[in-house]
Amino acid sequence: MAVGKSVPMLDSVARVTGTVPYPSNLKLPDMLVGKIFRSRVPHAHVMKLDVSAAERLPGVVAIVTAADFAGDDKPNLHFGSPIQDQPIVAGDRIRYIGEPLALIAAESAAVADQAMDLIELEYEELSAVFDAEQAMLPGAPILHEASPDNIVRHSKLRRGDIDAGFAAADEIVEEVFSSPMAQQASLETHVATARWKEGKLTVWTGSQSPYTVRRVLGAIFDLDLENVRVIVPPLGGGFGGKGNVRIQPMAAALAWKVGNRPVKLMMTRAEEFVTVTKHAAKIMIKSGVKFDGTFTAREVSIYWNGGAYASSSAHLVPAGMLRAIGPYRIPAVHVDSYGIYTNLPIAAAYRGAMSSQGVFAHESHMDTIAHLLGIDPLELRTKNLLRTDDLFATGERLHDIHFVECLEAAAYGLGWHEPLQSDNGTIKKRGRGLAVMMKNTIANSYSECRIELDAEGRVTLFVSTVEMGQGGHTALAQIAAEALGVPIEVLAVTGPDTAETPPDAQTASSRSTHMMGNAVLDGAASLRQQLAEAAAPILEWSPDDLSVADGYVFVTTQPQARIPYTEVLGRNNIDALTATGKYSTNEGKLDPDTGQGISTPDWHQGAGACEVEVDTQTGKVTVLRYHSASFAGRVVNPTLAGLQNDGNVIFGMGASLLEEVAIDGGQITNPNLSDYMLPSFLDTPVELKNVSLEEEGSSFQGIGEMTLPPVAPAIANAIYDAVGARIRDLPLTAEKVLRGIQGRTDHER
Amino acid sequence: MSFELLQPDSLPGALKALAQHGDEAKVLAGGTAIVLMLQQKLIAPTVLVSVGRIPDLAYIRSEPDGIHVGPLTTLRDMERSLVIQTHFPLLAQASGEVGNIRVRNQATLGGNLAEADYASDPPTALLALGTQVTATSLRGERTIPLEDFLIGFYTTDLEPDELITDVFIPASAPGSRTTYLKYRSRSSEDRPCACVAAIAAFEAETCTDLRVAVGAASEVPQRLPAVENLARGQALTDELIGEIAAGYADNIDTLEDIRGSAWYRTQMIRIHVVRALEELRNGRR
Amino acid sequence: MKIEGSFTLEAPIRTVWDYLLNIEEMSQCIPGVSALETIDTKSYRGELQIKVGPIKAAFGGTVTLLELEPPHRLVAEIVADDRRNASQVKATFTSILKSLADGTEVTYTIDANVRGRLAQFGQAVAQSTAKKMAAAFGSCMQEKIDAGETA
Repeated sequence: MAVGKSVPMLDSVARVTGTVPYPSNLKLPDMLVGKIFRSRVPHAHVMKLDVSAAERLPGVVAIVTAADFAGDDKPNLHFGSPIQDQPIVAGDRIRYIGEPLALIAAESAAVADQAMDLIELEYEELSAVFDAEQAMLPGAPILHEASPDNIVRHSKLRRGDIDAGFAAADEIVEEVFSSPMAQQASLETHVATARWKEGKLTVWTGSQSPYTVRRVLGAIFDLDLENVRVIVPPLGGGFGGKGNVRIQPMAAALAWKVGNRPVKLMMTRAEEFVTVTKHAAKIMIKSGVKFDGTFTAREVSIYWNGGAYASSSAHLVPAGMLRAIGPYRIPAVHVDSYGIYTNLPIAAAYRGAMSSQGVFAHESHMDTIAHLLGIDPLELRTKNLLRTDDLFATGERLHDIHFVECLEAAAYGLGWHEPLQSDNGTIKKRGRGLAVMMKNTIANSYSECRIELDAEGRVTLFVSTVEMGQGGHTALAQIAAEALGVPIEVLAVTGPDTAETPPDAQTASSRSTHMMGNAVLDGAASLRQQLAEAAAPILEWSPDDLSVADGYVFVTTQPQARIPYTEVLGRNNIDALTATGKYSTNEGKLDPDTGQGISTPDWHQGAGACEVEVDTQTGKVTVLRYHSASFAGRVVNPTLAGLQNDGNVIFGMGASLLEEVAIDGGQITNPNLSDYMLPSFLDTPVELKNVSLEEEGSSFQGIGEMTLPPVAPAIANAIYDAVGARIRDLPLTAEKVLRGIQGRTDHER
Repeated sequence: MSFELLQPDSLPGALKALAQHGDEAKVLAGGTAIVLMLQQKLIAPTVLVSVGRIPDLAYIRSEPDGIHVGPLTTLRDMERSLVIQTHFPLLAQASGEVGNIRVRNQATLGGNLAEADYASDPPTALLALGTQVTATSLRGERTIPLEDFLIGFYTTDLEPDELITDVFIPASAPGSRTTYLKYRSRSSEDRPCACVAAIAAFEAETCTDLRVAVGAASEVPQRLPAVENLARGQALTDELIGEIAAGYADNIDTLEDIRGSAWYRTQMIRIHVVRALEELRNGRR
Repeated sequence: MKIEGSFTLEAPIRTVWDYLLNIEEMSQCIPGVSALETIDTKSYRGELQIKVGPIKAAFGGTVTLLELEPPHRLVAEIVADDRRNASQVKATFTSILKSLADGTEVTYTIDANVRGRLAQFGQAVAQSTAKKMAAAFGSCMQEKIDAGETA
């Protein structure tokens, strides 16, 4: 049984010996270097862009500007999935600092840099807006004339009688929480290499969405999709930032203009900060509760700062609406989720997309209510947590629900009810906090794979699942190995390559092990059927009487009458058997006016509990112990699952305590990893434990994100428990905590 | 980024190159700071003078009145030096707190001082120790007390044609107790938000000499002799420690950056001076 | 970023105001300013060199007087580019003059956007550089006023 075993990652040796063929290492013969000339102003009309002097510089091969897209026979300037409002390079309008205006292909980076200095830009600056709420006010600068209110998307949820709910409440609690712009900060920055040959476009890129990239590039260049090939080598991290379409159109446009040589475009760390970011969000949350802790109503308003173009905001805003409510029984719920254009770089998915902002709000809010009512925070939650067969705020009936088990696993693991180590009146105070999350996954989704068994017994799995360090390929190999009854050693996984590997929606939202895992099961079943059919004439039994397992086809009633797979192929003179596996989910549609309907085929469920120590003189927070739990259904690889859970906690500690993109007048002032602070391994809790909950008969559930969103509220709640300071504004910096301690009025310990 | 790289193999050769190119030249030692500035295109020198091939500039030499440290000595070597650990433990401590081990293996003492980054550990420790910097040019040699050497943000008293050729750290009074406290407001590998280096000599309970330098909170690390003198001939009571800490907190014009506001830094100076002096009083050497 | 500060000059408010508006004289007191030329009565073109340690910036740009409320308040807009550092400063400079018993207090607020590479250099450095320049400006103005009085 390969499933359930901690086999090493398939490419573990390559990872530790530095031989993983990351897309940033790609070198092709005659390859040119691509560089981007960017805007320094946040909002302007372009009066003149003159690249002629730069074009004349020896070593410069081509320069692309918006002028190259003028004309019916030219590629489309604008792209975007699903709203096509983003130009590949800005034309007559600049909308953020760092927006690409011209693309340079040159023999070397030094030449491209020199060319950059020769580009003449004249513009007329316009007033700009950087704050999402201000952008919605009448009279605010308008980014896109098609959206005069600067709203990308407004999602609504209306359930129950909200006024009656608040009227029935004993207490009404209203709070405002905010999360800053942050960076996905993959170790490998965005990279794309493009080549045109005989009317066909090939792109090698670090992307979580190869088939989306193919579709969008096909639309830009008006190509049949078989003429666009997208190859995705293993990524040095994705974390949502490499979903959708990012720099690939620029690389492709450069290669298109160059004609016969490949062009490689790779972001510097500073450029990474203007390529994609995490949505800053402001969340107002208001709840009505009875003295006994029963909820009567909840109202939530969310303002997502989407940056200058719609990009992923268009489909993430409704997801963010669902993820800010909380997994609780509340009879009346109203939510308004606004995605808003501002003069900032675009915002998109960030591991557990649109969850951590909302979970920080509703889980901090739960503790405020618990303290107000004098109810233990764990008890208030377990009393109200949704169970299987309950109705969610969308009106859909829930299945396979384990919020209580997740939360209790984390809380009891930490020792929630055990006495805290005494402070003894010292300057360091300890406290505990916990939090839980629920997240819908991508609905109406599709995954497909191809499995090939050759005459020597080797199995190759062709998938468009992206390997980005999460171990996705290893998990799929384990599932295939078990389903085919072969040892993991004969498995190889290849892809994504849109010319070779079948379509898959994307590697995101913890969907691959679940969706592609089920596609692999389907493909393996089909392959076993083929084996049975091919073996039937040899064994002289009907295929229906045969079983396929452990490397043999055998007669079900006489297991000793068996032949190995290799012999089945060999005696039939078959070089290889190939099967296709598919899995799709068709559920998922919400009414746009009420948010009622079915939102997701499955629910992501996770929780966390921690103990912190706060230095009351400096405000510095040390997370001493952290226990996380996620619902995994059935664990494919315990070690890799544990690393996902723990990795989420460390990743989340950065966003909770340290990370914030600093912006001054639209200019990012900390676009480097010295000033933008990521956690160090020295910051990890001394005790870091996790559990992946399984259930008899359950299938594989994704676990790539579930333990991340609870981290910030768990820590914030623990800080409150320790020193009585409620911080509602991420990150929870030492200075904010110290100000909170000094300004505290309540909760003396 | 285009510059000429010179790699002189002698001190006179390097000084000649600096004299010739003046302000257009920059010195490359460990490269941990200057390569970042070059990559970020914040500086654009026409000539880079690498001093790595000059012999005999990396040393830690003990003499009766103190130690001489060569400018090409790496921070890692200082952190691990037995002589420094034994006689100047706070310097070993401060050197060992810089960045991470990869940076410390590369960064040099001379480069660290010449860069004059306000958010760095060694200058504060060296200031408390009464360090003197020797600068050499074709015009001759001069010795500059560190408090005069560090002028402002990334600014030193060095002339464009001068190279640091020696760093002298005078011996502290026998039996002195020392400490270096680095306060990081963010991750464990961050630069300091504020740092305190302190040295005290005692006769029984009486403090006979106190030196306190506070760094990373203002343009250059600061010593306040008038405040230090409050301790002379006194027992370090809680009240006196509080008074000295307040003296530092109130008299340093703190800066604001991504690691903390000016207000916050003032608080951190007060708290960390208290913690440092308590540590000295309570007997840590 | 916002930079605020003040200095005091030993001269009556009217004298200070007149000196401030004598752009040619006044600009000589701003360290690093050169090649100042008048575009019209309200706008000027010039160059400004700033050096912080090894980092040098050479800005070229315009100053436009937006609001004048003699002798109390002056608002100017500065837009300047540094080509080598691919950076730009766009700033609104507000100066308020207040009569004191023995002179005039000049309070200034600079609301500046630093864009491009120099932006990551940080507020601390910008703030301190601006304050040093203001202090040098103040003492230079005092000298000019004193010289003017004796002349």
